[in-house]
Amino acid sequence: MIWRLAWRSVLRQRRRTLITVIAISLGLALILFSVGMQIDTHQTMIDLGVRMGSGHVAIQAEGYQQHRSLDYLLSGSRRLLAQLRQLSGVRRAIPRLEAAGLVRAGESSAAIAVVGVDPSEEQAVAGLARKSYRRRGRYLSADVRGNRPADIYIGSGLAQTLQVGVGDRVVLTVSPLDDRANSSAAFVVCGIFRTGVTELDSFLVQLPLSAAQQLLSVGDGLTQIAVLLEDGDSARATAARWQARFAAQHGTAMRREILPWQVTHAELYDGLKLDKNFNYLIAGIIFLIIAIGIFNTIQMSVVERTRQFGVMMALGTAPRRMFALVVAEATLIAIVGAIVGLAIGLALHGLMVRYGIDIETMSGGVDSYEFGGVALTGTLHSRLPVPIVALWAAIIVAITLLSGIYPALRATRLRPVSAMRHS
Amino acid sequence: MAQGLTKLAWRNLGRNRRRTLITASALAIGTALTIAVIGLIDGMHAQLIHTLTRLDLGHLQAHQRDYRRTRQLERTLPHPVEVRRALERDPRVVAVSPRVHGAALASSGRRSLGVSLFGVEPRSEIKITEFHQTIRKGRYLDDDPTPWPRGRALTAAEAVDDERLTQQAEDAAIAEIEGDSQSKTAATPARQTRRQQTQRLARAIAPPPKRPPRVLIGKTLARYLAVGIGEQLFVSTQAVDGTMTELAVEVIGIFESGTTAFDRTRVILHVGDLRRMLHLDGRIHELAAVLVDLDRADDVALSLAGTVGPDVAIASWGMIQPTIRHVQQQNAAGSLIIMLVIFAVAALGVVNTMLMAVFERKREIGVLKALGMTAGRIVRMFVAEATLLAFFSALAGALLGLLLDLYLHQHGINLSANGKTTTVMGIGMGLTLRAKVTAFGVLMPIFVLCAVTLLASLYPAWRAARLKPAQGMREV
Repeated sequence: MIWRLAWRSVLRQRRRTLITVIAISLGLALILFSVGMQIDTHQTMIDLGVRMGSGHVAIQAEGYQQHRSLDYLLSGSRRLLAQLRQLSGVRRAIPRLEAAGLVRAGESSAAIAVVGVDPSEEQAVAGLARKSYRRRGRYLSADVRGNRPADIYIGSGLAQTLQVGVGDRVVLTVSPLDDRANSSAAFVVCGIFRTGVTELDSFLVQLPLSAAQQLLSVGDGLTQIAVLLEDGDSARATAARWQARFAAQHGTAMRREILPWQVTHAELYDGLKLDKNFNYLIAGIIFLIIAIGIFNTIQMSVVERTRQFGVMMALGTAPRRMFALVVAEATLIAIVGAIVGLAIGLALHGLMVRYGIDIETMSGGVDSYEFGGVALTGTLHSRLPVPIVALWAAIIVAITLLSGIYPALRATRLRPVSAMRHS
Repeated sequence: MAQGLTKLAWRNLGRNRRRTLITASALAIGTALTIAVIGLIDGMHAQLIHTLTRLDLGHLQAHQRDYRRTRQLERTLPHPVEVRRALERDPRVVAVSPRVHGAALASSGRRSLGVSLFGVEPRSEIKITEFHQTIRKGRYLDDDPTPWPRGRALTAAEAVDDERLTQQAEDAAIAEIEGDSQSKTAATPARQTRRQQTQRLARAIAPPPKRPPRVLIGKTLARYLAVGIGEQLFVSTQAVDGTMTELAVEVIGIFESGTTAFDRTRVILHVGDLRRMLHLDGRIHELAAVLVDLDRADDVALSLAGTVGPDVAIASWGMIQPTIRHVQQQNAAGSLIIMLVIFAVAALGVVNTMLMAVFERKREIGVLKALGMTAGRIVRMFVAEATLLAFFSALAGALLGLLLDLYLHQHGINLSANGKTTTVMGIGMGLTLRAKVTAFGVLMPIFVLCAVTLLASLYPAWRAARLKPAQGMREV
């Protein structure tokens, strides 16, 4: 009964209802559009970041995160890798050995971070090894060719500093674990990458793991095992669970730190959080404006119908029912607005999934966009998990209902006699 | 008559005060919040640029033409004295400071890390950068470099030795690179003596300093290397002539700038000391300058470039760090879109209320038309109503927005829950984000508000103008 009445009132002022519905749906559609793009951008950045960096979960000897020194090496790494790879939920377990070094070619030198990697594993992970980053040459090869110098994979910035190209030799100097004197070895540049992140392009080189272990005299030691999970969202929980299980098995005899990406990639995490909060702020402003618009419309429709309400009250309609009627009207408007907004928003989302926006066109000719140590390249798409869509639709319905409450209360406070006299 | 229209419009707005107020408040709040958001975005950019330029870059830098591209030690600035004088003479330049850059492996005990050596002139550097203000422990560099004895030329016999050793070292290096394992193992004792002889010769040409040169390092580097104030680090680096030098330095200060890479990789020392370490004599890599107005750095750079000769490149901070420009442009585009969305939604509210006003007044519009008012005048009447609405909303919104901006400028938004500095693109943002008030940031939303409101009034006005007099008068 109330719903039929509400439906009729809403339809009586078609144009006004339409405009209100447009405001609601426009707001919802735009928010879905920007949230979808933001989620995709963030997920892509996290995915790239963890592939190039420390994985969703990093396993290190306790103290490594704090000190970054070879004094904190993971022991028994081969067994650990095999164990990890058998765990369910683990997509890849990536061995890494990182140290600081000085690289020289001719009279040029540069201070860099040296990372020993398992070439075939890295190619499967597609972090720094991915083809789209490669400018020249090829990726590291795993096979050791007798006494020939091993491969080294360097960034474009470093190549420029050292004035070297593919096939050129460079000398790498590091301080190994076993003695205080530095040790040097020659390497051949096998390929050159460019990610758009200066920190990587100018200050990072990759070597085959075995060559790095030999140069640093660490046996089969690693500084880190980076783990990619099937479900990246569970990184925190997984890290905590593993840490607890490890502590239960080994007690205090052997200490390891098992850290989620939010800790190892704190810069990226903070940056994304800032971006997200900023988006919430904007969404909040848009919703506030929508709320004021809706409030105005409902208020007007109540004032306009003062006479009608007076008659209803005189005929014995309870104030509660009057309240319900106005709220029901707001609900109908909200639901129709939400449905139209969802349709437009999801259509936009579909277009973005299909075609996307090229970052190069968006940023005016720059091929990558660096944020929190990760460079975004290629095409931006949209990603909208169902709960997120439902959440925003629910928020807009709730806001519409809230803005209907005050006018509804006003309707209940009318005096039948004076209301009926209203023209 | 135009006055009459305005008066009419004013009265119409006053007829339904509550409605007008609510519509106006939507517009005003939209304007105010947009002004505040733009203020925050501008504030963030200003902070990023400030950190970037006052931590490291300066507003302007002069280098040898190819130095920035290759970062090679030997590409030092040609005619540094003349270039410095040219910069200092320019009234737009506040201060100039010379610098030398190098790369090294710093080690302490068994820990080592690649670092970048940053040689500065302590007295003039404090006018360029502010990292000295972030020294948490210890103190800043001394004005004078470490006393460093002069080298002497090699005697004839030593020169012959030098020739021979160089040849042997080259042979050994080639053998090592070619992977001739036999020569590698067999030559070890001989290699030791060769090394000692070489060091002796190197010391004759470039003797070590009387005491370890003093350096400042970042908090992260101090933690990674586990060194404190008064403790020593070993720095090995390659000098401009290709020789490897190893040298002990003493940490006298530890800074915490908040910028990740700076705190992890910088070793800051006296430009004189670094020049000696890298065998650069009187040469420098860079002149950094601070300008009166950092927004005009591009112009200054371009105009100065013509005066210093073709082999010197002068670049502004924006040319050196283009990323921050892109971020700025992207955010500007972003805030324009946000503004349009906010006002589009607000405009729908305007359309709604004005349409309602038109329907309410059907009767009187009919009467006005019957009395001979033209359609054009009726349109103008409604547009005048919208203009008044926009004007007062903008006024209120701008006032509110300015207040918000000033509050956000005074108090800022706390960015760090845990007392840690937030970084954007690795650049430290400080603990609070403060809004920056600019004329553009305040006027732009007002302009967009007025434009959008006027556009929104056109449809209701057009509906009113189309009303037939007889039909309008018949309405109750």
